[in-house]
Amino acid sequence: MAIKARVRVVALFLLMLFLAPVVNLTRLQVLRSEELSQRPDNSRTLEDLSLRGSLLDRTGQLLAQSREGRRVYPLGPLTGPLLGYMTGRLGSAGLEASLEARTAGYAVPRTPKQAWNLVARGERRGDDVVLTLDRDLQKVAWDLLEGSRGAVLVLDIPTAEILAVASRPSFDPATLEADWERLRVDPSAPLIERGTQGLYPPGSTFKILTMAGALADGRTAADEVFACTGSMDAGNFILHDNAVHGPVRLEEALVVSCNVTFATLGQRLGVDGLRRWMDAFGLLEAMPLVPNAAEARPVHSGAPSAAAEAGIGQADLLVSPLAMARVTAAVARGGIDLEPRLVRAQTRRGQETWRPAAPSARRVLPQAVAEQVRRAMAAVVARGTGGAAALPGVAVAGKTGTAENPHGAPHAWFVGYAPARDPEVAVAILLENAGGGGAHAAPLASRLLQQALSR
Amino acid sequence: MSRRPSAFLLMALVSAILVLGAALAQAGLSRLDPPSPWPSVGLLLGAFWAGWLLSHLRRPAGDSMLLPLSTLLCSVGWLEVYRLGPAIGSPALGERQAWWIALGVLVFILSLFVPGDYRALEDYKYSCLLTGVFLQLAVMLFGTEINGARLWFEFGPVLFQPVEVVKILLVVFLAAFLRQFRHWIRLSLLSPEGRLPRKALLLLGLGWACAEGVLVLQKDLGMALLLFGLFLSMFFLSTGRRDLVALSAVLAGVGSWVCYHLFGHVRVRVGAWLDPFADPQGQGYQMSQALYALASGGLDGSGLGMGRPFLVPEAYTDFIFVALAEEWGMLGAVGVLMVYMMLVTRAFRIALWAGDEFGTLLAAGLATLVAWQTLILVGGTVQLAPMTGITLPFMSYGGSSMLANFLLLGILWRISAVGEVSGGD
Amino acid sequence: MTLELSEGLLYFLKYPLLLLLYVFLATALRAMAAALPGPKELATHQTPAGRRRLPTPSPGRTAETPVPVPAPVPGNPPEAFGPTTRIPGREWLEVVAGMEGPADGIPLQAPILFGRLADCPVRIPDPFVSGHHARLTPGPEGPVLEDLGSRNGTWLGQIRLEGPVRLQDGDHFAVGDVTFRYHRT
Repeated sequence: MAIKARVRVVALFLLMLFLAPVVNLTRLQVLRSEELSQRPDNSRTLEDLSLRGSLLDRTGQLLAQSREGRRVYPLGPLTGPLLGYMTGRLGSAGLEASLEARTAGYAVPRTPKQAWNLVARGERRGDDVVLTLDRDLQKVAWDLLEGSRGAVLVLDIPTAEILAVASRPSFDPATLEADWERLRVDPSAPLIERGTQGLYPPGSTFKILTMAGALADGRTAADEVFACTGSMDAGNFILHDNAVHGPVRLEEALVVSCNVTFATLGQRLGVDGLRRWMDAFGLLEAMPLVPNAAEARPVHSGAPSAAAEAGIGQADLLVSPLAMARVTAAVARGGIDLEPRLVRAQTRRGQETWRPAAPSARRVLPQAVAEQVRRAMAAVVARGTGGAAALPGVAVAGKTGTAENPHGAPHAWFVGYAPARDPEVAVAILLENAGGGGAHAAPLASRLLQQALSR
Repeated sequence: MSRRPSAFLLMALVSAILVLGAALAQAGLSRLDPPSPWPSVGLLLGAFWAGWLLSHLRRPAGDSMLLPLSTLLCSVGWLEVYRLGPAIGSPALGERQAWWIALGVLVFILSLFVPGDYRALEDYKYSCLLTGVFLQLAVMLFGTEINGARLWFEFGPVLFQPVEVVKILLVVFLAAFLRQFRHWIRLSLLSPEGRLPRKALLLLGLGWACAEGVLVLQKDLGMALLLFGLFLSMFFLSTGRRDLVALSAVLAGVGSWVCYHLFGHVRVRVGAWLDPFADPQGQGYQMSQALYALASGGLDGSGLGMGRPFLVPEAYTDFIFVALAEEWGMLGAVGVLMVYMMLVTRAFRIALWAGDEFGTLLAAGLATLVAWQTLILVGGTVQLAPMTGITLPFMSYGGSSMLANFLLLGILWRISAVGEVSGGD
Repeated sequence: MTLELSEGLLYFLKYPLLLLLYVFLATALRAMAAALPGPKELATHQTPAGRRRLPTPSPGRTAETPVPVPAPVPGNPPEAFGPTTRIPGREWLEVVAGMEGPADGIPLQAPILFGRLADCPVRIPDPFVSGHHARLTPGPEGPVLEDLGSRNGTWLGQIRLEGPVRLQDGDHFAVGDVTFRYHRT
């Protein structure tokens, strides 16, 4: 082979190599363009911060606003991980990230549509988004968590709108960039919004779901009497109860939070039955209008005791406070489930430009079953473990929980609603490693419900 | 000579692209209050057309495609550099780059007026080698350190990057050296007495050691890759020894593997390449920003002056191609890659038409240089290879590289024009 | 025209710019395709009309040293030639690399001319080989190799021939990309 033949070989080889960048440019610029543009640390979407629309609460008060090229959050840490942040250096997170496309403004048009809008209307600023939050109630919820780690969530029962969701520890968005390195590695996870994204064992609050499921499936009846000897054989170990309750009727079992009774119901429903009921309450699916909510995790354990333990909200079951509030609200509505929402509307200069479809009501439980559970929940507060949640003049219904977990003392839970007869608001309270739910979480519910009702 | 009118047409198209682009860039940047592009555009147009005219008057047999192709690359690159200037806080960037391009064209013209024949270069091969080695050593010892790498000489306000010239000197040396010794290498390798082809192996080993040395001592991954690609290509061109080329490729692989495990900075580069999102605020910052720039450019780009290429660090030098891909889109970027392919094809064509071995090896070596340099840089910015700090020929901001590229163009023109020069030189 | 309007329009003005770029590409491709040499043209282009040829060989390089053309070596009947037969005094060339040679090697009886032109006994169709490139003339003390003023030279090892050189058994020499080895048994 002569030199010139080799020149041709080398030339051909090198020219073939040029195909590689052509292919990769196509891949990155066309095929993966969408995916890369939506990555949370992609600050390009945030460049035109000064033209970005605001986030408002349900009464039109500001929750997030662009000022002098920065994002400002009037409530500071009160809405820290919920709203998230939006900065050129750190990118975006939380609701700010999820609603990015709705609030985006543009100094220069990025799409033919924007270019056309600019030509036709000269419009640059992004739209505002109205959230379902109530700014005042959010403050109340935040204050209740003073000195604790955990979450407080308030759900409007007729509309399934989230009125408040506070999470502690939090961060101050104003000093986020300076605090970033500390926040990122903080073991108490201040960047996580606990009310919608935190996943915890539900403990005894889950007994609501176990009871409703077992009743609806005909695995028990309201008048069934359970013999509690203080312990039972759960399969591969002996499950101990908090007390020897003797013979108890179903409603009474919820009032005293009898583990033997609900572990038995858990065994009757089985792991699959419990999973089916979690699915029926909508806990296993994403909620488009609560963008970052974490889906619940049903039991995966194959241990013989799994069904019994799951019946009392243990095993490897994990749910968010939002999920428990949703179950509570569905029971309170007489067995009708509505999908919770955090986003109310998109507006431009006060005019609505978009509104999510009205929530579709879905019957999860027969009315009679829901009524039985409601009666039992009202009794829990009236004369049971949830006594501390009671309000003067208003009947409250609820359920306490004390969830064993591998991270130390049990989590204190309370879920409930008021008024018991004609429910308006549901609450979920979770205090990490705080101890008993009746002693620690229920008292907060009392103050929270009072504020929520007098709103 | 039916080719000349279409080269004229191409030069006119380059001018049109430059003028339209400058108008769009200025309008797109209006909120940044950019300096007027028109003095620079005038300078560029003057330089381009002067280069075209003088090259055709002086040595009409030269390859008439070289100038349109390279000036197109210069124009597109200049538009991006001009556009980046105000955004990164140095509005005079475009003007300075225009002067460098004009000086580059001047170098090109001057190279056409050097009396004699390019074949005279052959006699200076050892001078070339020594100059190259001297420059390289000098910059390693006495150069100015910028960003942890000692690659520049500082002359008042001007930074000179000797490696740009060293590359060309190296090609000249290799072309002359291999032309002299290629038979010998072949013969000694074919020796039936079973003698080891010691000197050939020594030569290969030397090239390998140079590449690895640059990698280790200067922490310059791109340059090491470039030297190696260049050396292997020219060795194969002149001797055709596939076995030895394969052997040195294996050695390079081993060397890279060793470097990867020995040196943290190589690992960091490779890590940032393979998964830029592992540490998007730290080591992966530049690469992830580059990917976002590419993604936001999409198919048709944001439009000149309307994208945000300044978010990528070093967008006007190492990442000029990403800036281009963002604002001109995939269509523009692929178009520019095709121009590079044409330029390389053209240089290889000159190698095929050259009447002597030295000319063939020299032209092919220069073509290989442009091709590898473009491939390594573009590959590094579109996530095909680790990111490297070499320049994109004719597009990146920088005087040394612009002057060297036009010198290279001048040599190619001289090789292509040699047949038709009357006996005056 | 307001700023908004001009920016909205600017967005669409990127298309004419891209169009211009592709018009350039198409024109350049057309120009290059028109000027592309065919394979035949390439093979014989070395001295196209108008290209400069080197002047006639300079005396220093190709001094025609008078070498007596020897008579065929006696006692070596042609039919006995072949690489496997060991006949004392037999001389032949082996084509080592670069092209296909006769299996028996090239017998060395009369002077051999190497070159690109058809009148050469050893024809090498390589553009880097001159028309009449080199000559090998058998002699009693070994054959003499001389370059005939070729442009790219005749090489004995790394040495470019400046004048005639007498070959010894086992010597390699190259004309263009073709390498020969001289044998004497």
